[in-house]
Amino acid sequence: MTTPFLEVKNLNVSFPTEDGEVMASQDISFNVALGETLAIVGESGSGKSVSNLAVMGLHNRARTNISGEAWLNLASGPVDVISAPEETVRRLRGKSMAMIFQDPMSALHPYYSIGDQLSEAWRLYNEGSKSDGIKRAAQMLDLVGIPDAARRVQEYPHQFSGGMRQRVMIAMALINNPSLLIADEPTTALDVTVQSQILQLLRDMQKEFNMAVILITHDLGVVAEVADRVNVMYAGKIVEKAGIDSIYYNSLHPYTMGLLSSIPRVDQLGGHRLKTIPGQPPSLIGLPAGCSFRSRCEFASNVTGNLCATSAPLLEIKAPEHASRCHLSVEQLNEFNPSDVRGTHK
Amino acid sequence: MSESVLKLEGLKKHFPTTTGGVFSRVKGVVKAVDGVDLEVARGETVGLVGESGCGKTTVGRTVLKLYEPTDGKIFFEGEDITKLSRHEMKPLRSQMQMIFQDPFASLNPRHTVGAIVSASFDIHGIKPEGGVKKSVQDLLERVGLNPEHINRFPHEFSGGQRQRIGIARALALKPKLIVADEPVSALDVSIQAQVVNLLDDLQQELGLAYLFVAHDLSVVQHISDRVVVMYLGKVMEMANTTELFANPRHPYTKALLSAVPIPDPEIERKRERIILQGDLPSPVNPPAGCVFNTRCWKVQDRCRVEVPQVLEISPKHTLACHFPEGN
Ligand SMILES: Nc1ncnc2c1ncn2[C@@H]1O[C@H](COP(=O)(O)OP(=O)(O)OP(=O)(O)O)[C@@H](O)[C@H]1O
Ligand SMILES: Nc1ncnc2c1ncn2[C@@H]1O[C@H](COP(=O)(O)OP(=O)(O)OP(=O)(O)O)[C@@H](O)[C@H]1O
Ligand code: SF4
Ligand SMILES: [Mg+2]
Ligand SMILES: [Mg+2]
Repeated sequence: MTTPFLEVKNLNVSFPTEDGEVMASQDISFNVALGETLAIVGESGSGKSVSNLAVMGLHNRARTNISGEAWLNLASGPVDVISAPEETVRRLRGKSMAMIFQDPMSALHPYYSIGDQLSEAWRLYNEGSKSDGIKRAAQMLDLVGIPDAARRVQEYPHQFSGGMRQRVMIAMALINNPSLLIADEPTTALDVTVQSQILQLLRDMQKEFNMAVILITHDLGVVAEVADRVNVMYAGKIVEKAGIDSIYYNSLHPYTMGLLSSIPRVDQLGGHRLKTIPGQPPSLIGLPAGCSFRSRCEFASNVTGNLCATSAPLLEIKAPEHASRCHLSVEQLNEFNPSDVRGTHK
Repeated sequence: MSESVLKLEGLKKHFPTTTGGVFSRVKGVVKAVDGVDLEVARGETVGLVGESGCGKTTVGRTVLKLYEPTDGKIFFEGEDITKLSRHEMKPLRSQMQMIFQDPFASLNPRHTVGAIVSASFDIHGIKPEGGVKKSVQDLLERVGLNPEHINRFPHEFSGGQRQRIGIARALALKPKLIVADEPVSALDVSIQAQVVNLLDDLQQELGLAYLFVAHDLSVVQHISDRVVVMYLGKVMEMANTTELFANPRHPYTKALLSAVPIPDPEIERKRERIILQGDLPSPVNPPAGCVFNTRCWKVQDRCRVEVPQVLEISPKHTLACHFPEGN
């Protein structure tokens, strides 16, 4: 078993607000190894971005309560980015770890050429002249599949299409060969044909640079295409954690089961009604006691002693390499898992 | 023969592009929609799909005469409405409604839900049976919202609930046709399923005709009876849903379908994808011949010069390609 590159342990992130403390991420623990892709899925507002921004050191520490640990196992020795001084984390960002955001337009400066922006990113960590930087920029643009890169480095963001801007973001994130890449909804704003170009590119780059990749998305189709392992989040917590096949064919959490059966699939005929998860996720301020999913869970009544309402389930190992935060037993969960979730081919 | 609610013949919508500045001159035209034929019958859902920028929204808006068509004809229940003035359109407006993509931007934040849903009654000077308040509450109930929330404001609702408010508004005047422009794209999967089911139920109950615009093919496949595939302002292929997904003949349709991620890892591992190279060409300067020729893997010389005719290759399956896939 390889040592993971990133080890997150009991990470909590909360925001004090006028209405109360927003518990955005609670008790988050996971690992990612070099060459591996971990997908993080879950509904909007479940804490996917917040927990990863903490790893990147991108929260305003004065206005955010962060506790727990996030170790980067660097060649020079392990560093906990949560307790390390801000300056240390700033040096690691862009070099050892990098992030791609959903909206490339907000991350690119409209008044500087693409080449200047890439070159600046490179020169932060490398000795070299501006023209060396531009050369490196053109090399990267070429690598991410932008035709005529040597000329296009001189162009500005508005001259690039949405898909090409996302390629530029990838080039910028990868320009210093980071070991960890966090991609936050990198294809959500793109349509399917461009999405498949970008996913292919991310896969090629991961191979080329042997990176640990965290892919944040709520598209379970994309996850099936690229991930090795999956964390499912709900209301700020990881509710299920397993290898890709276990999640899709053998889920051990009622929320994941609901999620998987509510998506229409192009490889299955329409006509039948989509299954829905009734209701909405709870507010993250003053979360109810017990399981956060309880009000929407169709199986809670099977747990004896009204436990779901009174005690919060722990994330426990229920099968090899498979953890779930639910009071139900493995036998019950297996029984409740609707068969169509396991795929029609089985 | 089923009753036709909407019929388009050779619909075109071109936008002039100007040089900008005070003495702006017309520089060229964006051929946003460039000859679209389609028909939607009562109780039927026709899905309109294609890449971003291919002209889907423009078709929807032109159908409702929010844009004046450049050329072609629009028939609503058999009547040619292409040339009707704003004034003449007014009585028809109530029968054709639109649901907008963005449930956040399309509702006025300063108006209560009651005011938003009842606005159409005022505009059309309609006094609904049983009074406005009662009708609004019935509508809210019908779309699965709590009728007691009539005095709440949009920000007090979740994304899925806001989209329901938009649907309630569209239903207020008992329309025959609803143009739904990306009605679920901004929603989370679990909420998306709630809204899709609601649209299904309403159609069953009221016999609505939907023109359903979306770029998510899984949703389109689920909800549509027939699907129209557009590329750069033109229809590439049109067929009933089962036929189109089982037997796509246009290379673009094929590429599009192969790109849709399927939430099943085993299938994904075995799947062959057709990855299109490059971007959608500019609609100001579309390629000569077949508009898809710059990205098509089957392209031959003929495609670069000769525009492929739209042919009915089997009943109700039309195609515009010189070298179709399969058969
Ligand atoms: N600075 C902040 N102050 C207060 N609350 C915040 C702040 N940033 C995020 N939140 C809240 O924390 C929760 C988790 O947010 P996060 O951005 O991680 O969600 P997400 O899972 O990434 O959702 P999405 O899929 O919509 O991107 C949300 O309820 C959000 O409103
Ligand atoms: N009012 C307008 N003036 C000029 N050009 C326009 C106008 N509206 C749309 N266009 C152009 O027409 C083309 C088609 O746009 P349209 O919005 O119909 O695409 P779409 O298929 O709905 O795309 P999306 O999936 O991104 O919503 C685009 O090139 C667009 O830039
Ligand atoms: S702990 Fe109870 S409420 Fe929560 S998911 Fe399990 S069964 Fe449902
Ligand atoms: Mg997010
Ligand atoms: Mg549109």
